[in-house]
This record gives sequence, C-alpha cells and structure tokens, in this order.
Amino acid sequence: MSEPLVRAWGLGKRYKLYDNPYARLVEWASFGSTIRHRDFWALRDVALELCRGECLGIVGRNGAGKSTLLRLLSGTLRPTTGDYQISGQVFSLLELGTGFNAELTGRANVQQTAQLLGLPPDYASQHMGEIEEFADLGDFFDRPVRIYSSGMSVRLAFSMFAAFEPEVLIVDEALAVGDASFQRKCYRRMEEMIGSGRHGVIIAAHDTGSITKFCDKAIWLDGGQMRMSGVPGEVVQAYLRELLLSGAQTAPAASAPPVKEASNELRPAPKIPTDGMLPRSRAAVVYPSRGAELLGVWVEDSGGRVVQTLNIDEPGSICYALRFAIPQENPVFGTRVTNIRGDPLVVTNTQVQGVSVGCYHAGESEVVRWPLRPGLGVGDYFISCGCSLRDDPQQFLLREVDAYQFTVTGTPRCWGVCNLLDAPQLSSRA
Amino acid sequence: MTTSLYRYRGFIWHRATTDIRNRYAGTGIGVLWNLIHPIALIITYSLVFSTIMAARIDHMEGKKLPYVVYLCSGLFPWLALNESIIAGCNAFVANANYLRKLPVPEQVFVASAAMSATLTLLLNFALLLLIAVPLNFTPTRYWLLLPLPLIALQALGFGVGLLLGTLNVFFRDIAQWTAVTLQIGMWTVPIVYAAKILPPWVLSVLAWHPVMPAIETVRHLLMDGTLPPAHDWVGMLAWPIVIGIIADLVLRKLRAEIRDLV
Repeated sequence: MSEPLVRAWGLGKRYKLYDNPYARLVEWASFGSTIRHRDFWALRDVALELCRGECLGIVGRNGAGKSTLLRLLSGTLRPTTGDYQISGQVFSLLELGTGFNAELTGRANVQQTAQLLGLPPDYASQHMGEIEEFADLGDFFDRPVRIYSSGMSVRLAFSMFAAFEPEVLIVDEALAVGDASFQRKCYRRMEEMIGSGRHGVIIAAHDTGSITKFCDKAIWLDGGQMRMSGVPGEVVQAYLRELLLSGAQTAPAASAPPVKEASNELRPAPKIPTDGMLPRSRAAVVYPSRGAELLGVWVEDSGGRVVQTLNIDEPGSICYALRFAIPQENPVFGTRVTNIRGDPLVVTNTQVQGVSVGCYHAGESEVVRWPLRPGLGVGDYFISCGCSLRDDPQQFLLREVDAYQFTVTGTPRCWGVCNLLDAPQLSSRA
Repeated sequence: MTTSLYRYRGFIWHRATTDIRNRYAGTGIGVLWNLIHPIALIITYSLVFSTIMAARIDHMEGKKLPYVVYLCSGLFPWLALNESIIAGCNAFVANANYLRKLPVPEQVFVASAAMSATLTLLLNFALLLLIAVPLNFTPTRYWLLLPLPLIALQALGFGVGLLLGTLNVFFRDIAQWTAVTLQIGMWTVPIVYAAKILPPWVLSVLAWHPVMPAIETVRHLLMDGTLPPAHDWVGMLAWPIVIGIIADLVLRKLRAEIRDLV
C-alpha cells in the first residue's frame, strides 16, 4: 500500500469554556495559577488513515465531533492533542457557501477563494471554464452570490473545489442541499477522483446510504470519541442500530389495567414477540391513553421473523399489540406510515379496509398485523398507531403519532416517496 | 509571519484595491469619491483657516506658510493610521466567515486592511503635494522620501491592528476602547496645533510617542526641505518593528484559540 495521504493520530480538540470573557482575563493575569474555565472535549483520541484512491466516511449524530474533525483536517482549527500529516492540499466543502463574499459574483468568488487558498494567481482563471460548466449556473455565474439559492452556492462551491483538484477533498452535509441530479453529478465526479488513484475523499453524512455505497472505510464518532472503525456496511449498521435504540425509553409502564373479574370469557392472549420491539422514536407524539394500552410495535419479515430493518425487495408486516383497559365494542384500528420528511405514504384503518372487528372485554389484547408490500424506498420510516371509537373516529382510545421508526435497506433503484414501478421491459430486448 | 504575508501578497493587494474600488460602489461617480473627500477636506480647512480664523504658522525663518498644508501633512497620516488600527482591530471578527472555513493565515486580513488605508493615504498625499505647489511650496528632492515615513507609520498601524485584533477576539470591548482612545490620541500629537506651543518638557516626553517621529519626519521633508534628525529616523523605524514583534508573539501564542472563538 502506498504512503497514506492523510494520517492522524491521537487527535483531540478541547474548547475552554469561560462563563464570561473576564474569567479568561483573570486566568491570564494569574499566569495560569487560577483556573476559571471548564474543559470541553469536542474530539478525543481519533486516529485515521486515508490513502490515495480511498474514500473515508464519517458517521455520527449531531454534536458527535464530525465537523470538528473535518475542520481540524482542513486546517481551520488546530488540534489540542495529537497531530496529523497530509501530503498535499486539502480543500473542504464545509457548511454552506464556504466563505463566499455575498457581494461578489460567482466568478469573482472563485478568484478570491483561489487566492485565499494560496493558489497561484492564474490558477483560478485556468480552471474557470471547467467550473462554470460543471456548476451550470447559467447567467447567475456572473451575478452576486447574494442572490443565489443555497443549492446554487453549493453547486458553485463543489464545482470549484472539484476543479482545483486537491489531493484530499472533504465534503460534509453541504451536498445534501443540492438537487438529486446535481448530487448524482457530484458523486460521479468524486468517483472519478477516487478512481484516478491520485485523490482521497472524506465524507461526513447523515445519509448513511451514500456512505455504505461509496466509501472504502468508515468511522463512527460518538461523543467526540471513535466508537468504531472499519468496513462501512458494518459501521453504518452498528450506528443505525444504536441510533434506533437510543430513543429507547421503552413505552412508559402504564398502571396495571383494571382487569374485569371472573372472566372465563376472556380470549387467550395473542402471541406477542418478547424481543425486537421497535424503540419509541424521538419524533414521537404520544397522546395520553384513554382506555387502550399499546404493548409494542414491531416489524416482521416475509418469514414472520421480527426484524429491525426490512429489505427493499421483501414483503413484510407492520404489527402492533394493544390491550384494552375498558370493554370496547367494534373499535377501529388505524395506522400510518410516513417517511423521514413527514410525507404520509399510507394512512388507513380497519374501517376503510372493511375489516370486521369484534368486541373486547377489559384486559383483552389484540395484535394488529398490516401486511406490507415491497415498494418503500431505502430510508427510515415512522409508524403511527391508533385505536378509536367506531362511531366517532376522532375519539381515540390510543394514539401515538410517528412513534416508532424502522429502516428499509438495500440498493436504491428509484427516487421519490415509494417505488411503484418494476424494472422496465424493452421491446428490442423482448 | 512575513513569509505567509508574502505568499498571500496577491490576495492582500487584490482585497485592498477592491476595497477602495468598492467603497463607493453603487454611487454615480464611484472611484472619484476617493478624491473628492480629501479635496473637500483641504478646501474647507484652507477656507476656514485662511479667511475666518486666519491662522498661519510661523514656521521657518519667519516665513508665513499656509496652515492647511501643515494640518493636512499631519492629519492625513493620522487618519490613515486610525483606519488601519480600527480595521485591523475588527479584522478577525469581521472575516470570521473566512477564518471559520478556510485555512488562511489570520494576519492576512489585518494586512489587507492596512494596505487599503495606505493606498488611500498615498493618494491623498499626492493630492496634497499638488495643492501645496501653488501655495508657495517649491518641490525639493526630499519630497521623494515622503513615502518612507508614511509607510513606516502604516507598518505601525498594521502591528497595533494585529495586536488589538488578536486580543479583540477574546475581549470584544477592545474595539470600542480603541476607537475612543484614538479619538483622544489625536490631540496628543501636534497635528492640529504647532509643536512649538508646547513646553519643552512635554516635547521631550513626546519624543517617545510612537506616532511622533513619523509625523515630524513628514514635516521636515515636506515643509522645511531638510532631513529629519537621527532620533526621528530611529524612532520611526523602531516602533513598528517592536510592536510588530510583540504582535507576532501574541498571535503565535493565541492563534490556536482564535478560530475557536470567532
């Protein structure tokens, strides 16, 4: 293996937190004998290596230290501990706009950024055509950046950095702002850079799909520390699992329902899996229970096994179990599936589906199983559950909105909210 | 510090010139405003002091010289110094956008602020010389040396701006204090008044004033047509060097934290 392009060891970044600026003055005046600050370690003991032709992905929640790490590597922050070596130039597309001057035109900003990066004077001019073409901003290229949309700024920034051909290109969430076709173009460009074997790319993203697909290795940052490093698929999966579990205060233990005495009429309790319940999502809106208690929500694959993630091609079921605290006649069970943007993909209930529902004694339980056809795209989905009165569907016995989260994985074959189309047939190939 | 300034010379120059060009962006006559401001200043002062207040400076050999040249030869350098220091003081905070995102050496922003003030100063001074000729000043070869004290003074402005700009990141009150101090500071140097009206002991203290040697040098070269005494040369060069070294040390010490805070 060739000499690594980027090598970092023991990287740590400490911020000193002062209650007010004059606490710092006191500290200075005492030549360090009084300490008036608290240390905050945004990053601790991170080591990484990137070779030419490699792509490194960084995953982690907000505040896990991703941006700090990227800013350290791009030289805008200095590490408190450890150090790093980079053979060659690093450019990073951090946050939006990347230090554009809003009053200058796109073209002038490219010139200025090249100068700010210490590139030779005519460097920007040589690459201007290429940048203009890639950014595809039309007339806007010669208009002030002030009037750009955020997507346009990112297009300009990416085009510029890609054209300057740094040895190491760092990209954070910024790309997510661009439209899909431009994102695709960016990824293609990065693929070329990686493929040429001369460059290395570092990506930090919430969009774990692109990391699995794109990177050769990945690290997972958690609370400023390296939780895991290795094969992207494994790291991403471990990260996602943790992310799902962390919302996991398990559903609040409701007080024991007043079970109706002497009920030999009670149906036998349905079988509820003991393991693998979906954790409550962070986005959950849970209304107070008014006579029914949710016992758990889970997802089953086509074989009826409880799973946390579904494959894109596989049918499955969304299931929930609930127990009635008071007797109920013909209640309505409903569910809703939304994607991460909040688009409802399906909202339905037993009434509109024409499913007959019987009567329940207090203390009886029910498992509602909604078969799910394949068709959801790769991504995260929220499940809402509800149970309401037959005569007044707005009277909820139980209502938990966007309360449970599950993931569909696989190789994406479409954009959009869901996939209704199979692979096309071509007459010439028939 | 000097190597990175040299490496970024293109950017510093570019920013300084665009700053001057853009200062009056959107106005009808644009760049010309850069000339109109000093001309208006010179005209006002000469009208006020030649007719209303009739001030003349008894400068050399009893020759009466127009006060306006005396005033402007001190006022222009002072205003430029003022601008360098204040802009330098705010340079890091104002350019936080760049500092947060690009690995640019910090001092570049202070340097471009000082450069833009210097260019304005040189322009204003050229104008002053043009006006001085009809007012009975004969150009001498000493006039060719005039850029020296002006640039030395601006080097001082860069050093002070860098020092205060660094500290201002940590204590944002500094920019305000600086503005106030500079306003008072103008009256500690003989700009508006003549040095001769001061008692000798004040003059001997003033010799240690960082701005004094350069202003004195300007006056010697421009008004008297003589070389200034050696102590002015020494002071004029020593101050910027000393302050520059201090600013460099402070910046080195605090550099790691500047970007955490801007």
